[in-house]
Amino acid sequence: MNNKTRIFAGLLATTVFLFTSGRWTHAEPYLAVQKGMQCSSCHSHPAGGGKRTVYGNVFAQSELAGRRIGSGDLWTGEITKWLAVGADLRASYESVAIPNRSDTSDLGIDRGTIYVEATIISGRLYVYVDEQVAPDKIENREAYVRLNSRNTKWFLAAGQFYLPYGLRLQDDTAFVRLATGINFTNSDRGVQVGYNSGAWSTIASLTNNSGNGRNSSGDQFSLLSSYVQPTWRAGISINVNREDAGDRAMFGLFGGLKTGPVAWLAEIDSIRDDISPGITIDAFAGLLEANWTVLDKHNLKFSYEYLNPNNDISEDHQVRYSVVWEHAPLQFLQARAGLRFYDGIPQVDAQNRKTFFVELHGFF
Amino acid sequence: MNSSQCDNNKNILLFSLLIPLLTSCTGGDGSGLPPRLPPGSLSPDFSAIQANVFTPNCATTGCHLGAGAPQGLRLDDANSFGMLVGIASSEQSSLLRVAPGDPDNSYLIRKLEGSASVGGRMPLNAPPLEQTTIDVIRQWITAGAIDDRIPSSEPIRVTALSPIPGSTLTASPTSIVAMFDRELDVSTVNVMTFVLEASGGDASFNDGNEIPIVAASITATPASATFDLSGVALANDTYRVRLFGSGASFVMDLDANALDGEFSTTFPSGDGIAGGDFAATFSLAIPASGATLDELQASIFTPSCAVSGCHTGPASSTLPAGMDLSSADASFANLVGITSLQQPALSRVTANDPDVSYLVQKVEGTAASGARMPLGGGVLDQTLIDDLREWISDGANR
Repeated sequence: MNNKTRIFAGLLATTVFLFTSGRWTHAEPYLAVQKGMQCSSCHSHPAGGGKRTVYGNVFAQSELAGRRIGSGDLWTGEITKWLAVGADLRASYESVAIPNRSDTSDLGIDRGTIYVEATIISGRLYVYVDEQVAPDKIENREAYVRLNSRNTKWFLAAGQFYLPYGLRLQDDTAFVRLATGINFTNSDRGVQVGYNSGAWSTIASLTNNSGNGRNSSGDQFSLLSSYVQPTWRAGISINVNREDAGDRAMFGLFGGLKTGPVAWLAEIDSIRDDISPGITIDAFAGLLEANWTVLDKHNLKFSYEYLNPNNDISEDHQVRYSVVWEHAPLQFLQARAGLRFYDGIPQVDAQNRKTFFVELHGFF
Repeated sequence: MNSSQCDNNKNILLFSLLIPLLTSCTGGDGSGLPPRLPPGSLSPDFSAIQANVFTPNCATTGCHLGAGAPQGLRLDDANSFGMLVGIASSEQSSLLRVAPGDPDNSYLIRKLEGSASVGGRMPLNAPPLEQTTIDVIRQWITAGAIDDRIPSSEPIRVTALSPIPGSTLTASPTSIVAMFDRELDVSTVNVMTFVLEASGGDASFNDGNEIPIVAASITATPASATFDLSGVALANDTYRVRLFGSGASFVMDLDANALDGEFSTTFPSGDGIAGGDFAATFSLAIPASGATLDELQASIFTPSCAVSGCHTGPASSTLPAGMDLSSADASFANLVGITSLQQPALSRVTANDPDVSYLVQKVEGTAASGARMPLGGGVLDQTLIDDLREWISDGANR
């Protein structure tokens, strides 16, 4: 770890420590932090993301939305007692300015997904499918069967799913999502076991590197464990990926803290890749994000990200600052607009770009 | 001051402390890395492309680097060439990631240009490469996708072959093309060093019945060798392509290194030692457009030939019974490639050539000896004879 990496890690750790040790001790993971809840409160999958639960749908209509149009029953996602559905569609305009290149802009669909969950045995046995339907392609993202224990504290799932690791941010371009390679483009196949009791939540998976976006031999172990309190949370992540051609090992710490109207998120990840016999690359990625409810139902997100792709090279690190405004004017509709500033090595122009985006997100 | 105001003040204080701290932490100045290339100076060499394109844009932590690299494709300096050139795409297996000499059909180019049928444009979640950069990669592929990092003391290797080794084609290829990772001595590519042969119908190349195929021409460029099959009709069979790296004549590079040709299933060829022969097979199975032998057996041989007292077997050198046509298997065994007893200069059936097949001459009544067949049973309908001709033209396959 070089000096700047140490400084960033120290700064992040100090920040988290200050919050968690003082009076303030008291995916969109920031919503979970604001509410002091587990991700599984709003999402079917215990690690978050994908189809929303009944509570998640009600929350979207009552607490997240600026106002609710219509006066009928609330949408819960449940078509019948046995079948529940959901969807997300994100369309955006993005303008990108890259040094030494002409500015570009694009208007299009970022991603459309549909979710179906069948309840085979109420409270115990479920089949879940998450399918990407846009743009341009249909692709299975998750498909698994999940069995809950009688007391619902344990679950066992088998199939294809996203790996439990770190904060499941919606933004796949966040450095902690890019550098770990655990994001919404990479699901994997295997089994998953979870334990959720009170403040503790732990999920472990063993997968075979054959899932969507993967095509490798070997096996992969992932673990995410978190402790959630009403105003703060902390967790660890571990991932070990063993392949004939070389192994990868990752260790991460993450946390969340609520200080009045601000929900903070932080994550740091240390990544080691065996590239070839005798050659190892150590990398480091970090995120610090503040989500400030500046007005009722309006969130202003500030984030600072750091990526050191090779700790042995002193001046190859990148940083990214983002300012994003988010607002849900109606139930099931969210608008976002933001600026992102990248600062990287001068040799790669794209590492020094600026982007502006406006996004509409429809969901249910 | 109420609780809400107190929270806000604390947050403002925190932000005012954090923002200067974090904004002072800027990106690296790149001093530990190769310097920036002047615009337009990227050369179409693998080493330059690797250092200036693949390493900074693709072989990044969490992407095409290390375990878990998408599709198992690692693009770091140590693995990139070997995982790209001549390797089938795992997203679209009919295409090579890099098909030397053919950028349009290289999956890498399709992914970079956003025209691939599977997955997102690369680099994923980042701005696309400039077209001028992609064009340089195209140039490198067009020129044969050579690895310029190989020291001149290392032997030349085969990086790709078309048709793909082990493949089964349904149409006759127009050429056999081999690609190399270093610059060839084109004068060493000739009929003695670049050989194509058919197995003789048994898919085996060790029993002496192999049939050499004569090329329309054999040509070479600095990165490729072409065995031209223009005007050469190949019959359904298994074929072996050989490029010699040993013996009296062999393929060499410009530094006089012999071909390192040993090949199993993956490119590049070689065992690291100059002087091995390259050999790979492919099969040709052109679907018959007309009647099959089973159909001809039912329509011609059984009702008109294998009648009592005629071609009913057992097989022997005595006619007519010895030319057993009583079943499709017997007909195949006694007709295809079998020398005529009446006219030893001809085969009863010569695959792909009905005009010199004695069987056709006999049923059409043009044979130099003996009577028209079926003897005393009436002339075969011309449509049946046409079916017979078409079966022979299609390769006379069982």
